[in-house]
Amino acid sequence: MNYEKIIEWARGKGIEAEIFNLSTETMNVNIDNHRIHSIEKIKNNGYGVRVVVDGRTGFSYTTENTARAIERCLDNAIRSAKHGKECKGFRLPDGKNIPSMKKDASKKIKDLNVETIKEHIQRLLDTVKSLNRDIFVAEGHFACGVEKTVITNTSGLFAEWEKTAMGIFISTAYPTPEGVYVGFEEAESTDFDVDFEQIGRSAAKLAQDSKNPTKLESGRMHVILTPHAARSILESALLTMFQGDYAMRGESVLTGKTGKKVFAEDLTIIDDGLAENTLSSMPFDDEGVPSQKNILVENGVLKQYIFDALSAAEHGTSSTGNGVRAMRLSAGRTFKNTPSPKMRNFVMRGDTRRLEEILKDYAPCLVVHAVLGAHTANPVTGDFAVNAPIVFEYSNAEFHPKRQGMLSGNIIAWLSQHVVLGNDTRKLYGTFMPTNFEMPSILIPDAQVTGSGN
Amino acid sequence: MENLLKLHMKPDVEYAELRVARISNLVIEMKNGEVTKCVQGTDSGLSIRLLSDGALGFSSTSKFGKNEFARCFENAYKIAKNMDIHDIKLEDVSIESSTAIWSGRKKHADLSLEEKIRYIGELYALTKQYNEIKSVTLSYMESTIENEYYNTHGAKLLTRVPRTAVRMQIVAHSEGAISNITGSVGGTGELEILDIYPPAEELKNKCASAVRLLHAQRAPSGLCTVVADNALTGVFAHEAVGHACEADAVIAGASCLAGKIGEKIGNDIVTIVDDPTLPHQNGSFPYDDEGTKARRKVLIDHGYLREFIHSVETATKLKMSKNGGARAESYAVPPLVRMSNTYIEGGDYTFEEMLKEIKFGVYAKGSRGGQVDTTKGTFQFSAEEGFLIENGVLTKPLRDLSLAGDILGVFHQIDAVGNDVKVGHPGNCGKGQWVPVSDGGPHIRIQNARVGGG
Repeated sequence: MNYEKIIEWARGKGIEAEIFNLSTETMNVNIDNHRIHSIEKIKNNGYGVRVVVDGRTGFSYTTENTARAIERCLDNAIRSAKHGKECKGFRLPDGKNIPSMKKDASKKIKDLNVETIKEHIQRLLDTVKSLNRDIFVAEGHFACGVEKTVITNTSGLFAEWEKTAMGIFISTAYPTPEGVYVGFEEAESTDFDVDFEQIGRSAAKLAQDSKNPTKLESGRMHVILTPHAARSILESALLTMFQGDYAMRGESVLTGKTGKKVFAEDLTIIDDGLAENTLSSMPFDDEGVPSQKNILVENGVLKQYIFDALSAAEHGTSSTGNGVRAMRLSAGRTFKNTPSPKMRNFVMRGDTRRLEEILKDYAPCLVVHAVLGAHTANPVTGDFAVNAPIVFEYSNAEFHPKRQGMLSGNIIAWLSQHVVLGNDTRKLYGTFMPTNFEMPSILIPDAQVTGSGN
Repeated sequence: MENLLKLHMKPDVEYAELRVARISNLVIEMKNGEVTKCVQGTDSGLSIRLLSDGALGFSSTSKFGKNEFARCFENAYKIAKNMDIHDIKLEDVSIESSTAIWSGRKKHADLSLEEKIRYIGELYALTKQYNEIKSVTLSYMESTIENEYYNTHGAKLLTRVPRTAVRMQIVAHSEGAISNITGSVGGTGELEILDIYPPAEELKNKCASAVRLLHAQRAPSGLCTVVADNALTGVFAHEAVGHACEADAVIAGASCLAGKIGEKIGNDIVTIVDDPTLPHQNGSFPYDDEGTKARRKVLIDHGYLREFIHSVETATKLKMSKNGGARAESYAVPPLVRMSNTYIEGGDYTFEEMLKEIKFGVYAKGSRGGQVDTTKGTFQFSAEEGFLIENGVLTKPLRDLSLAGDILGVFHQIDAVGNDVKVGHPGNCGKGQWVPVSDGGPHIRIQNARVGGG
């Protein structure tokens, strides 16, 4: 694609214009009933074209790979810009001060072939069976691929980055005369360095350990969320509150609370866009603003919200390097949307202790491995009530499986308590937004649990 | 196109199908009366799925051209040749040759962009009468999917499905309290959809709810009698039974309903249907993505489990009849077994009769979605608002309540089904891919439901 010609054409017309190109090549492997059922190869390429005309922005996209199609997009974007909200201070980013970052595209992932993937998945399946012949992988998905981003605009920006990624998720089932017990495990990486056997072992063990659960009593109790469960709840109940566009419109309980204490005093929350080797690591965001490390909450005090370039200009501040292009409720990036403020890499710091120590100090406590329905949380108020299908009670130095229960509360109230973080931080990717999480287990000292009633 | 498919066929390819699609979209987003997004775009491409020696291969691309087609075919072929399983059969594949060009009484093009923006502006003006409402986001969305489908058994289908929807998010503030509610109306069709499901009516209802929620208390937690409104009944049908009836989950060993066809799993008053032929519903379509004509499916008939939702592959495997349940998010991905418009059929009760018999319970209204673990057979879904029921009368308003339960069991707990069926509630169902769906039903009463509140 001859970007220069198109950019020159826009310059000639006195229009600010930006072309965002995302091309991906992905291989998906689907597992069902303990075998590889199907494999898919998907190649996608598209262009998002944004213009700024008299301070008003317009946008259009296409998958057609021709200069004519891009010009048609430019025309559409110019037409829609006429109706856009005016923002005098908005300029397309100039691409200056983009930090250098370690290139993390993995040759191993680029060179992956079907045979190698099949071997690794078979090893995972064998590991599950070696633990218990009755346990099987009911469903699983493996994906790997290369994603190339190119952004150029009339402000002089030309930025490109190539990323590789792989991810695997499996759910295990353990049918017994008393009922079916389930487990799961997942892993994501920028390299092909995941221990497939460990994934199998972990998911199988969780299903096996869940056997013969006893009644879960209702009440308020200490609850430990594993990194998976914590990621799910925080992603849906907390993260949106920091988005500057929402917060400045009053669509967040954190609105107007900058400089005020919002959480327990030893809790710090960071959005680290400079973290390396995560699925969201790039030296710039999806409009070419340099990635940066943003301290959002420091020792319980709200320091700032996150912004893309347009929402920052509207509110008289600077972009925090969080202009991310994604569709609603989607963890994938896209060329089909304009940037909006989204967390890049969520990090929590606080009273961190060894997990064994937390279990000992807070026993009896409930360990919640997974939650269902976290996306039904209220992102404005932080209220949620989720199902917890895999739950253990830790007491007398042992884990005891419990029947499912419900976990409910408000995320602000939860994090205003003295929460304790485990030393078991894992890199997990978002389910509904393209955000990486550096997620430890979290102990919530006082949480409402509703038992299964039998 | 079908000639290209024939041209590339190989002697050891038993079956191949080609999908070509062009998807055009328009999204206009207005926040507090100003247009914040106006996106027009097109996405087009093709995919090939083939069966060789009992193994499937799939490949897709957003590029066109003879060479790209050849590369795509070759990718799919190589994948099939690399598979270890060779027992997949596709019987009774589509041989339909037809066109189904759906178009509206009032065309999308009948209103200019300016007129559509004016329409949304008039909707926004309706919210000005509520002092407590501080932020309103309205999104108008139209899309048209034009599909071509060909297979090596002679099927040739041309379909066009337009959709129109308005989504709304309302945030209200008062004396330190904050509430948030979302709503949407829409379905298959063009501008007449705005007459069939008037957005103004939905918007006024949602505004009233947002104001009411400011003074609502958290719902009680525990077991109690719940009356669900039409929207919540819909998500209940979708989450609690629809997903477990998807035959791919049944085959994977990931459905608690496996092997239970013909068994009584609920009370006589419970009949649950999935019907993609309903006019103007969001989940409607003329042919599924395997070229099978859409048809109504009775999943539960007066308490008896009658039918699963099938693709050609699952129907062949389970020796059942295919029923047009294979849907893909786009040309880029293979079809999966999916729902369409899922609802509970009506009964005899009026809403008042249902309430009259309740001493203490909860009336749960509106849906914020839900999630299910089909293997374990547990589900969760959340209501937007609720009311306490005391001595047969609605009393205090409630906020943020969720319900959870077991698929095998909950249908015996339904002891009253209303006579006021309403299907609608457009949304998207996620299963690795998003597809448009709708749901609904009458008011229903569930005894001993597990409620999670504050």
